[in-house]
Amino acid sequence: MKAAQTRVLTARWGDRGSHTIAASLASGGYEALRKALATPPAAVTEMVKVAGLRGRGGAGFPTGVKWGFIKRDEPPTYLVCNADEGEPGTFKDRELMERDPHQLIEGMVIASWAIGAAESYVYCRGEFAFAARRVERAISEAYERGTLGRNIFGSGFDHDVILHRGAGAYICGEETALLESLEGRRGQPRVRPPFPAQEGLYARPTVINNVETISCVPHIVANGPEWFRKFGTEKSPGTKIFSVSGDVERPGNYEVPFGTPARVLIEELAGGITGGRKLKAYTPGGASSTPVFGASKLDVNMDWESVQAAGSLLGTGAMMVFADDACVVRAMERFMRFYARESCGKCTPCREGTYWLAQIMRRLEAGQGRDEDLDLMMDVQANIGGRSFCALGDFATAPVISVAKEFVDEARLHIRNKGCPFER
Amino acid sequence: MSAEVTVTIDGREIAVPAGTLVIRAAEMLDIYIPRFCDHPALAPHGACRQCMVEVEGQRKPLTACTTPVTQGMAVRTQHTSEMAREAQRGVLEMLLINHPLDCPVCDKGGECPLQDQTLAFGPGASRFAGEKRRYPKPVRISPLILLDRERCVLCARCTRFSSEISGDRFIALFERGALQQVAAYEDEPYESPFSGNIVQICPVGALTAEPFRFRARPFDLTSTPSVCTLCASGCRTIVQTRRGEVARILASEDPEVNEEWICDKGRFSFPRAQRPDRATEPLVRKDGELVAVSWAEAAALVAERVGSARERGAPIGVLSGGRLADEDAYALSRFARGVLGTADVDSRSWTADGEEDAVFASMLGSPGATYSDIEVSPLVLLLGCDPREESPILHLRLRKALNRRGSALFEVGPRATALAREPGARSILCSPGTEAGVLLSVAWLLVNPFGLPVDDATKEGLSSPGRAALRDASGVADEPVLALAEALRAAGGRAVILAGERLSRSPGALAVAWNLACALGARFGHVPRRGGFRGELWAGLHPRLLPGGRRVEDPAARAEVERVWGASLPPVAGRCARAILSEAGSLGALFLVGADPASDFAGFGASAVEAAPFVVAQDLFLTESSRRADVVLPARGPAERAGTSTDWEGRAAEFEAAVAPAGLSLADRDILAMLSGALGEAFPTRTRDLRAEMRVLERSPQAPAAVGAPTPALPEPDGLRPFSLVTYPLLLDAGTMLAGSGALLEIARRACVEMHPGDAAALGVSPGDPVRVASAMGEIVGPARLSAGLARGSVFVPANQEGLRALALVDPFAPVTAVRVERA
Amino acid sequence: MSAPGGPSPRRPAFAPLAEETRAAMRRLMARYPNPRSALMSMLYLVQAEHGCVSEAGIEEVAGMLDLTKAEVASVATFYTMLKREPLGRYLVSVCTQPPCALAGAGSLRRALEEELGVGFGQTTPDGAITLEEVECVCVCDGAPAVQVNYESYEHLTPEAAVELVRKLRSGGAVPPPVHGSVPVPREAIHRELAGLGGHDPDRGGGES
Repeated sequence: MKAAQTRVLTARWGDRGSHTIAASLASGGYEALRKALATPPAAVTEMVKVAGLRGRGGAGFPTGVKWGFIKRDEPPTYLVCNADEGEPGTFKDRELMERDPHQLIEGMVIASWAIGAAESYVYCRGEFAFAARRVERAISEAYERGTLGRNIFGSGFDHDVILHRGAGAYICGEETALLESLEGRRGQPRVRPPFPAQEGLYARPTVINNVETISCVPHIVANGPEWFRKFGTEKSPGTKIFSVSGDVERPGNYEVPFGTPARVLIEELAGGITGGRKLKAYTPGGASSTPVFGASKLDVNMDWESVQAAGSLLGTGAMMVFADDACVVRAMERFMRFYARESCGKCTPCREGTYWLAQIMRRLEAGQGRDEDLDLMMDVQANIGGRSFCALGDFATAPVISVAKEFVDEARLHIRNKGCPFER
Repeated sequence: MSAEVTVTIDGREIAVPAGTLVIRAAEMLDIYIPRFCDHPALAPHGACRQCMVEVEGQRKPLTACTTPVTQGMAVRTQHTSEMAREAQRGVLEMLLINHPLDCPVCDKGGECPLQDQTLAFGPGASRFAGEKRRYPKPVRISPLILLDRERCVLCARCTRFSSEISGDRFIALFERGALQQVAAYEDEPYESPFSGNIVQICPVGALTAEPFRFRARPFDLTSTPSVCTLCASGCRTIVQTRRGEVARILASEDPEVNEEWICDKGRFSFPRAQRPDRATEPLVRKDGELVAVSWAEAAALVAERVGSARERGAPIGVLSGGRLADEDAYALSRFARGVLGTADVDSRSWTADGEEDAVFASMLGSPGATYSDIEVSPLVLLLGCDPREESPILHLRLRKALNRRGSALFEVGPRATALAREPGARSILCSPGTEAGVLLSVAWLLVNPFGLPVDDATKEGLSSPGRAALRDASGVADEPVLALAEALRAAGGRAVILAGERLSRSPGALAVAWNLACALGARFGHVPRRGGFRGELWAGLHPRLLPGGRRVEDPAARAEVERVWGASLPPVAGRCARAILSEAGSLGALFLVGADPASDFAGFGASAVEAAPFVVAQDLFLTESSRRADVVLPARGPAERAGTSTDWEGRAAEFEAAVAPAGLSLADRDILAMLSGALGEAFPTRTRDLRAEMRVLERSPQAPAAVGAPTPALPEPDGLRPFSLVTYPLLLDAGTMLAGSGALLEIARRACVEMHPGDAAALGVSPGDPVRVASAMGEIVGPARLSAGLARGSVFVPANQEGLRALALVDPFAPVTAVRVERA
Repeated sequence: MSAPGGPSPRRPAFAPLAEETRAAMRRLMARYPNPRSALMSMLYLVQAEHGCVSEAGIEEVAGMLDLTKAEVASVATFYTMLKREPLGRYLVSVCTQPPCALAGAGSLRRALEEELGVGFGQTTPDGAITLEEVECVCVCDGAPAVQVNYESYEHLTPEAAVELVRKLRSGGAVPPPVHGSVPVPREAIHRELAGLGGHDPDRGGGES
């Protein structure tokens, strides 16, 4: 049995020079934009609503609904593309920008048409030098070819896209922290209300969408919402790019319809576990998977509702795979350190809680833990989850829950052994 | 937002405006939800998470400080919800893991929300077994404020105060995550005239004030509500004493006045009352030296000299200086006119014209602008006043109007104020003394294209040739004048016009401003620099005004006062302070009651005090003037006696004595009663009798009436001294009320000579170069500071900075002092 | 330069920014409706010129944006790509998150530390290389991943990593990464991060 990908967003990836406007135009690029500009903005939003497109940044909020919140008659409004990919294990947005930046730009102009934005921003993670360069080059090509700038396709619609690079802060993936950062401030999330749709960038109505989300838009407009709904499930329509990494033969991004079983992604598309070892665990949604799945969850269908029903979260769809000789406690300790480092410091539970948990996890992994630590960890995480200012605090509980609930035997082994029992 | 919604909190229902935050709605029901970062005056922040409550239908607890109520919302606080209790307990535990728990040596101990919370709800022991965050001991972020980062809970109240309220953004959060900390930049200290407020709003002991550190425990202090009288802002305070001495002054809350802020001068200058040059017993000059005598001896001497002066028909001058409580001011007015029989009474240190008198008379009898008016006004016109230096709480309210309410502000004068940097503010710079010309131009525009009805006198003034000349002399272009006129037209009766006492240095300007307000129906406010001025003006410590703003020339008004006082009043106007002082040699006696002409009028004042044959000084201190007097009568200081103080709005507030009086000092009113007795005249001896008389003399409010506006005189250009001197005292200076205030004086701005970069270039002056400024009265040398916020041809020198007193340059006979400026 | 393991290094004094840098900053400020949005880009330019966010740079940027130095430092200390100490010519960032760790990031780290004689957060005495640990750079399909001035090298063996830094140090030509471009030195990459291009227009046009 050999599973195949369903290439929609990644259709051009195999082509030579897929990042150039020539390649894009040669394969139907910007045709959706031409169509959108001949369609009333409200009808474009409606298409996206009917398609059931949900945000690919992790939260899964319906994109068309988000657009519909914007009062178009009070300009200026802004579109901001969240390209601050940083969730450990995720690498889809980077590759989307590197390989098909015009798909993104086309989607941005369509979205901006729908919400009446004359300017949009790509907030690109600072460390993504190559992706940013590709987007920057694509923006200038788009201006040259008139798919950006004044009077696009003679529609009278003007639009500018500005690339803005971050400077190293995972929290800027949180949409209001991103806006703070884009305004030249510390990337700390804002109080809601007001929501970005009311007062976002420069206190104006603003939509923030993830790279993958926006990249879906041209396809919905070109082929219609019904076509889009043919893929995936009722509540998770469309395709999704899953980033598979870790102990697999062929790590990489794989585009499949929502609802594809994890087994297909890990064992077939990614070629299975390296060196003939067995699967111990995988993250369904990156470091913030709450919790990590064990081998028994290999047949979970990868869509929002199925992953949730199985007890975790789909998040960004980053599947980090661990073979049976890898230490999950060590991996979780590393995730915990990540959250402690990336906590912005604004709210008490996340700032102090991650500081505390990182210390407990460190001693646990080093074999200096005590049995009570497992309970203490669960107590502390319960005071972070659901009580922090933004979702980073919720994510930060994932490593603890994974260890104390799913891999408690492995944790106890560390305590009994007074050290890590694994090689890796 | 104005619609009401009904919510239930802990089972109790309340209707509140939609959009009200849960924490505020709970307060209305007297339900206290614990909090650290929330502060009603600051924007919602939601960071500490201590205020989490359960909201019906929500899976997770919500922060009461960021959640607006909605119709039918059911909230359960820690009193009724296990979820809320658990959440709050969890946050408290987190806050304590990195807290040093050094309460026994912490100044906040006893008034610390973190301590109180921990006692009430906290765990008995910590489960945290790791390494605490450590920082080296306190950082001195300014001479007044110390920051102990280990105690900080990162609520950001201080940094938010500094950016949202005071605008002194010298502290900020640095770093991130668990290392996040409040910090000032290394070589950019947190110097703000409002810095003490961050100590008061800090919910833990992270911020402490140098003057209070390790001095007392909060629970050992006695608190008395009071009013600060150091300027005319009228701030409500709490004076806290320990063993009869002031240990600390805190801001008290009054939403109509100071909200909950006070400036550092009001907070930290109290040590002055205990300093060595305080007058504590009556002194009489014998053989050239002031020696201590009994009150009886001093009073007898004064009576004898006053008696002989009256026999000779020699005039008696009475000066006050804007520092008296209302009752003392009234007693002095009554004493001067009714007992001494003189009309030579004045409380001003500036030269004024007859129109100013008319404005004051009408202003005292009519409703004026208030803080609340300013907050809701779309346009404020600010004249002759630098609120940050002269009325700091007014500055904060104007800043709030600009930043939170989107108001606009125009200011006209030779020097831009700190408000000019705020959004919506615009500064029209003009040569000093030409403000009247600019305002006349504005009025002319309002009348001609816009058809504003004005009184005949103004109309006449507008058409005079002098107006155009004045406008030319002001150096102001057409556009800003047009913009101001248009803004005033648009705002109409909702505009507020604020005039500081320095506007009187431009002859006619106060009258034009007043008439503009009358024509627009706009509210008008006069902002004096000193806290007692308004009360003294009301009392009639003015050569042409009797109590209540009655005109001395008006026989009916005079009769009203005579009836109350049982004395006949001189029917003529008296002389102003400058005139009295310039003929001091011919006075029978000169009374200085809280007045220090040797400082306010510099050399001219000092010579006058020397020349007067007999000088009686009632004062707190041995000042430049009182140390030259023949009799010094020790008066009680602000916290040492009860009284009433009237702020710039005309709002009166009573206060009680908070500390024991210094030595044998008496309240001014009691000294005056004693002197009246020695002169054989009846005089009210009880404060309540004085107050009763004052109530009788209160006039019923009338509509403000326009006054005659003459064509103002043009300042004389002077080839020899081509620059105009701009000077006024800064908030923190070398003045009497601040001497001995320790760390507070360290943040006083250094003396400088401020000039426009263009003028500096023409003179070959670079920043920091020594510059000589010379007038007919004297010269000073100071370092140059360049500022584009100064009119060309003007030079600004603070009036009274340590080592550089511009007062010594001021020509007391000219509205504007001409100076020569050169590189020294 | 900071000496490895030495006491807290003294901050070198920096000359005021070049006039052309200030002009570039003004151009960046003009890109946005609110000039403050250019703050991080301006700090990258400071880094291009001084190797770190210097005090002189903070002062200049504060003046241009009408901010206090505290406000600028508040932002500068929040972001990990803005550095307090001067960077080496090349910043070598080793990802240690699980996918890279499982693929041998640990031995990669040891090899680099041994070769360079410095640990994470330190710069070689010749000023050529700064070594740091970085959070997931989202090249998990290329684990273990190492960035050199933000160009990602994938599937590096310890031997290949050592070879790479040797070439960087000696100024020799290094091969381009599979996805990306040949790393450019400190000044050039920070001008690019500031949004001023500055790179060869064809960079990034290479095959991937």
